[in-house]
Amino acid sequence: MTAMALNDLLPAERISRSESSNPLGNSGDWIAQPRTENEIADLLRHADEKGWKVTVTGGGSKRGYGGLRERYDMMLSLADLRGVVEHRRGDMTVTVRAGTPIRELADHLAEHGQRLPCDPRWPGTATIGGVVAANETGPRRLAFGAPRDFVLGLRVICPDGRILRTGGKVVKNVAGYDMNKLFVGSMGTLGVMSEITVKLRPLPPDQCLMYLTFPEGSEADIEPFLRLLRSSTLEPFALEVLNPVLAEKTAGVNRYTLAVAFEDRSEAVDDQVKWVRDHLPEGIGMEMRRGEEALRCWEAWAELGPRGPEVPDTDSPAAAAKIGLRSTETVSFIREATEKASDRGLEVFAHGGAGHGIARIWLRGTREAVLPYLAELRSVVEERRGFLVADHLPFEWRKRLDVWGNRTIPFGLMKRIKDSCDPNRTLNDQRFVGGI
Amino acid sequence: MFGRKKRRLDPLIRQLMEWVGETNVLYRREDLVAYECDGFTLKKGEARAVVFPADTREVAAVVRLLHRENVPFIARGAGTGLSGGATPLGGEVIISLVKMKKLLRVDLDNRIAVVQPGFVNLKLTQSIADRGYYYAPDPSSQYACTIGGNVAENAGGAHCLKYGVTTNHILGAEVVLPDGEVIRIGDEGIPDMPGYDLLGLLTGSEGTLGIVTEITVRILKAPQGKQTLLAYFDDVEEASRAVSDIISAGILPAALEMMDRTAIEAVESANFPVGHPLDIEALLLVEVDGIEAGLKSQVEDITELCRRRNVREVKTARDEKEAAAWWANRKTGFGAMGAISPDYLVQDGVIPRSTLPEVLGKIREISRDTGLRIANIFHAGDGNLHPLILFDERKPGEKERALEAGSRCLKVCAEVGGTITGEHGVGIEKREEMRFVFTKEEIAAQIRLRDVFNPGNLLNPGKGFPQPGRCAEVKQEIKERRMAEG
Amino acid sequence: MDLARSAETPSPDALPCADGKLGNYLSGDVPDENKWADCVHCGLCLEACPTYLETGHEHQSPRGRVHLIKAVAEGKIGLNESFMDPVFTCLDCRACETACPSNVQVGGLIEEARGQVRRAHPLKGWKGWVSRFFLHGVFPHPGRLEMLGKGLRLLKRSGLSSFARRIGLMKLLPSQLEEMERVTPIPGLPVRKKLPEVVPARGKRKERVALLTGCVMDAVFGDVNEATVRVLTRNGYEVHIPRSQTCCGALHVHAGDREAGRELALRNMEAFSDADHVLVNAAGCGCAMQEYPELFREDPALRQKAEAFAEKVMDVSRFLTRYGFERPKGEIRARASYHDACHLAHGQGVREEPRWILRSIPGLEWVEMANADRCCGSAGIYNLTHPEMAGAVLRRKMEDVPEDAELIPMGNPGCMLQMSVGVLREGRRSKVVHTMELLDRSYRIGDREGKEASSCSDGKSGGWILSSGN
Ligand SMILES: Cc1cc2nc3c(=O)[nH]c(=O)nc-3n(C[C@H](O)[C@H](O)[C@H](O)COP(=O)(O)OP(=O)(O)OC[C@H]3O[C@@H](n4cnc5c(N)ncnc54)[C@H](O)[C@@H]3O)c2cc1C
Ligand code: SF4
Ligand code: SF4
Repeated sequence: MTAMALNDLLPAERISRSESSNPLGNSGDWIAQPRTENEIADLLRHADEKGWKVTVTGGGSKRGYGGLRERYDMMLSLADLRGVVEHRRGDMTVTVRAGTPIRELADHLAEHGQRLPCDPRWPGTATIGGVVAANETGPRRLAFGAPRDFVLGLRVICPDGRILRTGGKVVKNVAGYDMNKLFVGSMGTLGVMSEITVKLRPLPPDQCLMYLTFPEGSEADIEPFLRLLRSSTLEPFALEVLNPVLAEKTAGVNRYTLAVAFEDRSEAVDDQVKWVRDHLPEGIGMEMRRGEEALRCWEAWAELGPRGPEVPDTDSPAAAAKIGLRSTETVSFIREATEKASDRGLEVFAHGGAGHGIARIWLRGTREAVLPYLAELRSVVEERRGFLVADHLPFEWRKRLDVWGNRTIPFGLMKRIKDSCDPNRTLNDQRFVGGI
Repeated sequence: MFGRKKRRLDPLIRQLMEWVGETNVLYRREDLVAYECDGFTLKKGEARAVVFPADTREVAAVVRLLHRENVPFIARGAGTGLSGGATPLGGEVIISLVKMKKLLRVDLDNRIAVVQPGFVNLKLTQSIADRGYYYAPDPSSQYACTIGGNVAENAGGAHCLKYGVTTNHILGAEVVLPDGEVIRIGDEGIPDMPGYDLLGLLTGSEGTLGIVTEITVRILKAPQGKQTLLAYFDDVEEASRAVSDIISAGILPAALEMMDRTAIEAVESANFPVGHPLDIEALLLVEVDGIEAGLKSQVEDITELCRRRNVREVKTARDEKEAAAWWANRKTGFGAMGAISPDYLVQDGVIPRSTLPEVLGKIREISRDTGLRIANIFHAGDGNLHPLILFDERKPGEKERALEAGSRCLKVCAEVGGTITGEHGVGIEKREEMRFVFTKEEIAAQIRLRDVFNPGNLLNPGKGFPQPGRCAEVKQEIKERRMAEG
Repeated sequence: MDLARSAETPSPDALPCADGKLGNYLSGDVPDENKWADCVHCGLCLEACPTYLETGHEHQSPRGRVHLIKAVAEGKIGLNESFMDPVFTCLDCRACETACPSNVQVGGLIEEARGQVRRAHPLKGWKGWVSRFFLHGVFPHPGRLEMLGKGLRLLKRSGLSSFARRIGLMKLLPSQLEEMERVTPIPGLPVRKKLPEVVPARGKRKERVALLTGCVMDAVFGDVNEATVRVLTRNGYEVHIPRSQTCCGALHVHAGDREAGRELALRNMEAFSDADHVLVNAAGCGCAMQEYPELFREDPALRQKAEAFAEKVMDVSRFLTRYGFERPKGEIRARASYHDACHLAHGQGVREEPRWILRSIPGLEWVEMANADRCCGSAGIYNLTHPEMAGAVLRRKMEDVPEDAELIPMGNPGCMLQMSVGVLREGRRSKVVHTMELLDRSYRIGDREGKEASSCSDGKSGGWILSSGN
């Protein structure tokens, strides 16, 4: 395909040739910035017919997440496809264009006392489309659930240019298959989402974030305390275990720390804070952030860790991973990850949800140091029937460490799904598990 | 004598018996009659046989056999489905999962439970309640329906306003695919396993993508406190506005249910009356739960919001027992229709909450036009309506009018931006109404997905989508029109 | 639409009679269309049904049974063996009626269907023998029942039965009968023999009541009847025991012999015509008598009479809690777990009354039984005709009976026998008792203690002994 052909489809200022490469890979020879669904459809149809490979991007925060191609023929950037389409306040739903950054949406909703039940990393960069495509969640997943739980409907452009609607605009819907699930978490390998309708929640009347710091030697107290808390009737929004270096950054204390959050009416928040105080083992430090302060803590939290658009440090690039485990194994995993890193002279930042079982780690180092470390952690996790997905790695590293891990999954079926939706493998080719 | 009988048996039946044992295959006409429909009684069909496998291995073996012999088959749970999902169209083998009804494992610390598909919904909560836990999705049929059936229908319930529907609580499954292959999705309840969300696709697929033989579900800690309110209104519109007001005020009740006058008449004349006044136009049943300390002010806020909408009376349940009676009265509401009408057809449309008053008005119009009474019991909080169309199948023409009324109700829901089913599924019943919400292409895309899982379309054929015959008719019509135009 | 049509077309082997309502039924006493039309096929009754829980088969569930009954009326299936089986496998426990939101009278329908089946296919073989022997040979004849009781008494007293058991003679009986023999107490004398027709109230007479002595109750559990009479009289009720009363007919109706049921009903309505209250301590009998109107649904005059009669019938526990009873004072120190007889709980809605009575007894430690109102599998002579199902249902029931219950009180003789078999099979140590026996015993202990433990008429002081003979 030539510039001529593409120029028929998009105004020249929104399509450009790009030679620049990025250590994270996933670059495009052409960069297209469509503003409408039809433009996307035309571009895709064109590409599909010509056998081009297309990568899709929003804010680019997940550029280092998966993908065995350094370059695609075209990068489809949805950064220009933004804004709220329809906010039905009384129904607590919003329809928004896929390229809208999370923060932009959150600010809009907050004006109406509402919010998206989601606290992903880099809300200023990450777009709703990217977050949904990666089914990305943050610490408050415990109360919020994941994008798969709040996406109500989508508009999706298929590789052949057809436009489909999935789901709907209402909070309950079982008409036909739950086609939303096909696209949520599929890393853009099946279709391009242009509009997303989500279920909203009210902003909490009050909230707090407690950092419980466990002095050296008392780490063994974390698990029993957690068990007590988990079997209580408290309703924590987050229950994250932080390793000392991460705690240093967030809570200012270099100790294993438990971050416990509550959001509710003030009386109920007070009540739960009191419970924690009353049940805290002796010698455990406690710091509390309330209201706005707690909010700011969360905001800062979301800006930790590596992200795509940063110019990566080539000597000591960043790596990150998402780990899934049984929630009761979170504490031991965070400790193990920390210890195994220090054995290798690495410094790892780690936190994990003791209520939902998703943990995250990130670190910097040379390939020779980091990859074996990740492989070792992975084997520990997989032995416990969990998984480790390396969700931020330089492109070269991804060729050496399977981003997705070795857990047996019904791959045959997944491959057939890909073949059925994208027979020419036009979209995000090799970006996903098993080279899908 | 039996030997002789057996020799005359359909060879397929004999082979099925070899896999699951003689007593676990039903094939006599009288026995099959009981399987000619599920909770949706307007369409009936005769199955070829019913088999009762004891475990996944037997399910897989039976499925492999049927696949090889090219015989269509259907999974069936308790048969409480309301759209004909488990109803045979004719000649299918029904694979009943009711004998796979064990609770396999409970892990309270990780908050998961592993059950067989035939395990009855309410049993799960009953088995863990003494330790303070429960399973959130609570369809009104929970006394009888199976968790396998819940997964297939993505069942909702009164409490899904706050806690979500079945799909939000399923963490893993073992599935027998239509060719007999057994796959496992999700493990130990760990979320986000790499790959496409197969679990999400299977949930709500109405038993057309695979047979679920083991399920890992999330269980929750029972809330610290709970308050149940009952608000009686003299005007339906005011009641529906109160619903919107409550939600807009940032209150997220665990449940927010509504019944109208006809529905109240039914529940009060049935088996679980609680003494609702019969001259009110609507009632709201609201439950808030959570941290005890935060409930009092929520109850006050709700009461105040109802007052502003001219409520006649608001009361809070004195104790668990009273609340339970209110709930039993509500949850048996569909069945209670039997007390005021020989037959009923329940619809399941969903609308944006804010259009409630408008839609209720239109339903009244439909009732007037068709001359049939329509009762409304519904999950008002999430806009999931259940118009119950009352009719007498024995009166000529009434069934057809009921079907028409049902279809028109769904049309109204689709027109205000809603959908045709919120929890009961499409099944046989709403196949044609799928066109109200999806284009031909969108339906084709869904059928393509089905073909990925179920390429021969042997598993529960003919469900969920407009019938191909009709499709062809439509195509033909379009072609003819084009030709006429061109 | 094609579907519906194909389903509605009956198969040639079951072509209906011309009359659509009759379908394949014989004319007269046809299962009531209005009863099955109430069923909306919701399935909420499924998990309440013991036979469905055992088999998982839809046609062995209330919904399935109602559906089949309807299918015969629609001419889809015939009145044949395969229809008969589910209809007769029903325990008539009525648990489904409690569960059903739309008040479908499943029990009544089943009985009507049984009547049809019996007319079409009279019983043969062992079941036929048992049925004829008990239903026609024994129950309607108080004299013969007494003989049976006498024989039993003799057998037990003489030690012959244990001798026979030892040498395996009892093995000649079907095992369920043998077990039944082992658990029957040494029967006391039937009250109809022992007590006068009118037993005066102790103290001032508050009310006159008549007592149905019941056939099994009186022959096998005569002591329970005596205890009941004592309880009533001490509470100021004058008890009439009409001599002309007869078997209530429940078993006949359950077995599909509605004609015999009607005859017995008429005799009882006559026998109790003077009574204001007809009290019953056997749940099955009470329930059947309250349902006499169903037997006469095709005869308006008799139906009305039966309705008036049914109004007067009441379980003795309900009567006592309604009309008053003296708080018992005698302490019975034991752990008790109450079993709801189906025909009390589901059949008559009597649940709380026996509990109130029992909980008023000092010393009694109360353990609520899980699924207390689930059938034990007794169901009249069901345990003889369907031993396997009865056994399975009993096994499930025993799982719910707390291991450490010392006493299992209940209000039905059939259940008492069946639960005793359960206790025997499981090797438990619990004692099966009737609610009235416990109340009576507490009264008597109280009286004795009241007399400062002076000369006590009841020689057996240690431990609980079922038949507290005089
Ligand atoms: C009175 C009444 C009230 C109801 N209230 C609600 C309500 O509040 N909310 C709600 O959501 N629904 C409600 N329903 C509908 C119904 O109960 C649900 O759809 C329920 O999930 C069906 O479960 P079941 O076990 O009866 O499934 P069935 O009816 O037996 O089957 C339903 C579908 O699931 C498939 N299926 C069953 N088991 C499996 C399996 N193991 N693997 C794959 N497919 C399978 C069948 O093929 C069929 O398509 C109600 C029904 C009644 C009668
Ligand atoms: S009476 Fe008992 S056994 Fe018979 S259908 Fe009802 S619940 Fe089942
Ligand atoms: S509960 Fe009642 S209405 Fe529902 S299926 Fe059973 S008998 Fe019929």
